[in-house]
Amino acid sequence: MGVLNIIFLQPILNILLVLTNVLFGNFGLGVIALTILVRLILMPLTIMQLRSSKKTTEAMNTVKPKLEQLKKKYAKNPQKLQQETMKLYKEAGISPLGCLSSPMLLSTVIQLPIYVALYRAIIQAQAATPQDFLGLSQSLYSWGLATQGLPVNGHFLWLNLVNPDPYFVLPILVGVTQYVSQKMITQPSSDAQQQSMNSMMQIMMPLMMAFITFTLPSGLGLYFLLSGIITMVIQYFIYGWGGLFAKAAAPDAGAKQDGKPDKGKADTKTKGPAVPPVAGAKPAGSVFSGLLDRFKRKEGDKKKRD
Amino acid sequence: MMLSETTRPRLSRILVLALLALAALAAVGCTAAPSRGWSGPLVSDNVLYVGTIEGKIVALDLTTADLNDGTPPIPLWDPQTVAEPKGSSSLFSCGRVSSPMGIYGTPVVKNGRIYLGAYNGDVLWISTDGSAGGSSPFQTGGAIVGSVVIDGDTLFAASSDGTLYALDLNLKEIWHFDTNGEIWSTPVVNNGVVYVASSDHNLYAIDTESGNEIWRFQTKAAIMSTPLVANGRVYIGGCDRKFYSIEAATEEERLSVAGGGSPTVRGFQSVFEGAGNWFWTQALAYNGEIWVGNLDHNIYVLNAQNVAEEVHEAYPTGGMVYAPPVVFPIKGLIVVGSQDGKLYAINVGTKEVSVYAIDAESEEVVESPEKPKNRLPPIFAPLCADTVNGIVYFHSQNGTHTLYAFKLSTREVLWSFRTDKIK
Repeated sequence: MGVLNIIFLQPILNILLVLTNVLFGNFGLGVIALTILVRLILMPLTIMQLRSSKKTTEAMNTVKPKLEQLKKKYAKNPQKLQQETMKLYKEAGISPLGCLSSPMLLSTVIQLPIYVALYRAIIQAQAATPQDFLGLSQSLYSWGLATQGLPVNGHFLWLNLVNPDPYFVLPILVGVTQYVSQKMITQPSSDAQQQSMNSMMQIMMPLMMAFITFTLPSGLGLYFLLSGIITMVIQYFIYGWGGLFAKAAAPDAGAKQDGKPDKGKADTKTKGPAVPPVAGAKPAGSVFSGLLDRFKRKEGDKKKRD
Repeated sequence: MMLSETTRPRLSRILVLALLALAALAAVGCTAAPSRGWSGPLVSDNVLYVGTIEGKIVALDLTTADLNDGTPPIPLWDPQTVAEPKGSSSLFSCGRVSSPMGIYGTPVVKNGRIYLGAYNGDVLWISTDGSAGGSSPFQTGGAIVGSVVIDGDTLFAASSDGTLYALDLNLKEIWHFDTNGEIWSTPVVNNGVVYVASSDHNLYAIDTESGNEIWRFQTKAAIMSTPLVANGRVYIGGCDRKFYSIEAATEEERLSVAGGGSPTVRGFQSVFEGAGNWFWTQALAYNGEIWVGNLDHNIYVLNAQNVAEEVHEAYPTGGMVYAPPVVFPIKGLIVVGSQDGKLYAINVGTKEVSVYAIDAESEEVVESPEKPKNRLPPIFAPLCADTVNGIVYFHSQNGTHTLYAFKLSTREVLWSFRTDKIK
């Protein structure tokens, strides 16, 4: 048995089974309680990660005007541009490694095996077949409370947690929470290519999560959903609504002639960091808004023709 | 991600690709473990019957095996698919066995018919001459993991739907008894009483005629093992890591409930609490001793009169012990198969242990402590003992499924037969 299993998987699995047993033998309640417990334990790390990310974003917004100036100044000398950009980042206290820098890396490295173990614990605890059940015997402590609730009863609300959601409610909810959560932390970018990539990610990731939830036992879907909601709540307290209601920045947005960021014009509805202001250009915040624009233009053209 | 502005789009692409790779990795990690199961062999009139994980019944004519050159016996008739394998083959069926599963239980032969329970929940029979059954399968509401049992003209089948069914030999229901949990073990019949263990933490004693409950014995965890009835006692171990001795139901008690009397709750006579994991297999009674394997890799030898007393230090094996021990009385040997793929033959008199580690490719027995180059897959299925000829038949299963005939006296594999290669 691997060291990671002993350190992470076994404790989480046993606690999940104890919680299930204590919560009236209801595996759904056990999954909910464990998800909340794990997220509470990891809360300081999550907050540290989000704050670090927020700080970096704010610093980025501060240097953006200067960066634009550098781009114009050294348009024909990429090597010099790179050097000057690095210098600028250094002055602003921004790590060139972005999210790969400490403490974000540290918190990610610590959290990842815990999430993987949580995911695997939910799968293992549901041991639906005799051989899965036998395998489970090798991961359990001698705690009576962990064993007494076995085999777990997978019925919870309309779900059989061993099987995928037959009504597709969970996959849809997981997709929506994933979309909202990502939208909250993604800041509109003045870089068209970056913006396009952000938009694609904002669609692809929720779709992928929804698809995975659709194919997996709904016990995991329940974990994805609750985990997504908790992430949203934590993000709200760090970022506010963040980029959720913000429109994308047009090229050069956020830069005034004096090179200072336009903090006062940040989205006033948001509670979080200053979102780069929109400089009257057409919104292109997401694939949906792009499609909406195209639709409106078509409608306008049609009306003109009429 | 935030390297320089110039490298950002490229990094975003890398991030997307990394996410897709992660999803692919997750998918691969979620693919199924190899199918296992524990369909054990049965020998009747020189024919060996065994069920396969693919849902087929195989009948091997043992007289056709050439023991000089290891030629395996020839199937008496074309192996028949009697149960469609059940199981998902979805790529994302994480943690669940997606390889199909057909038959777990050991077949039972009676009056020219082979009876068995299948993982798809069907109880059925086919003729020993290979012709299809005369009646439709009896469908239970859940997978049948244990074996069916025949007592007189009644067949008992326990299902994962939590119900014990009593059927006549044409598979018509006589009565059924509901428990509150899945039943994965085999019922045992003794003196007009059928004993069945359930994952609802109870062992039940039920009157075979009326289907009425005589008593129940409650533990603090699921019971997945098959009870043993011997010496006027019922021996059973559970997932609470305890092994119990309980007084068997008496004729007076049976008649009382048959006449409408109320069932009672039974206590245990003695209990063994020294095991490190769950009891999964049926025990064996021999010479005033109870031999029982445990998932903590040990074989325990307990006093049949008082199971709290260990009469010998536990015999360790290299893996979980799922399969019940078998006895060769003439040789005074108890033989046990283990998850480590080895056979352990213990001399009851001298307490000496012979470990047979068979190389999966050369089929040669390797002397301990030397290890075979190709380890034999785990032994999950019950062994079948040919006590006259000193041969133990066992079905080794884990991805590849092979039936072995092993002669204890010469320490050699007489023949082997790949049951997963059957077309």
